[in-house]
Amino acid sequence: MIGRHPNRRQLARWLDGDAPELDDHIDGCEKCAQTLDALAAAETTDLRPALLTLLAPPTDLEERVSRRLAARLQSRADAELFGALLGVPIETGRVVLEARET
Amino acid sequence: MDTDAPPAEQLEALVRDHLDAVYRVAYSVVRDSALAEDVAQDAILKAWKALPTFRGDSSLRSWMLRITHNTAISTMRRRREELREPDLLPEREQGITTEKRVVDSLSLDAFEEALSHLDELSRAIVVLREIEGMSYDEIAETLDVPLPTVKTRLLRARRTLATALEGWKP
Ligand SMILES: [Zn+2]
Repeated sequence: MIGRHPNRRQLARWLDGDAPELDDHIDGCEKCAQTLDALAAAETTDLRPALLTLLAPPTDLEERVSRRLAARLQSRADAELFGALLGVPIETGRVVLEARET
Repeated sequence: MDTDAPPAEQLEALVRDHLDAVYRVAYSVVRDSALAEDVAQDAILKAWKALPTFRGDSSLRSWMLRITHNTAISTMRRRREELREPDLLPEREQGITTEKRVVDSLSLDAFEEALSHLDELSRAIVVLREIEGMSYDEIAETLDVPLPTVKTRLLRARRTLATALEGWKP
């Protein structure tokens, strides 16, 4: 472990974001993690409702992603089929298809 | 389809079972709704193609979210290089969800502000812990960081967010 363990007062400052110089030590120290755990034990706020609200996926996300994925698979299948017809690898089939589309 | 590609049903299953979590992890990194959706789509396609190599050392969810996190990080890196100006990155999502419109509170704004000021890693840790309910070990494995990092970043992030949330009730 790098250097000495910070004391409780320093750890409390770090928790408040005021001691970035301790980042390297704390990132790798199991003992400090335990001390911090005890320091923060009183913290019981439920963050979940607020997080769920802020990070809520758009309602039509699944539909849209499914459609876009299907389209990507389809273009891949087309390229493969085209490549197979011409007897060339899929990459060539794709290039030929894309050239036709533009 | 080439013969070695996994069946399309597995792609549908990945979307059905993991899309919401994938989106949230992506959003926690990129902080833009449209970009998070692109990342989610890329990550799911990547995971689907790589399914034959999934060995079950971790849970499928953890594996899926690890791919998502990596995809989000590399997407951000690419965009930063393209823009060469971090200030031009989107600050907040464009799309407003119904749920969000219902919530009208200064405290939630403060919460969002606090969330946006956390580092990317801390945001991802918070999402995996508080929303996905992962254990510290699972989070460490998913994000490929040491266990103490998970614990301490989470403690600090929780403290910051809880302070910002004072007074807000859903
Ligand atoms: Zn220590």
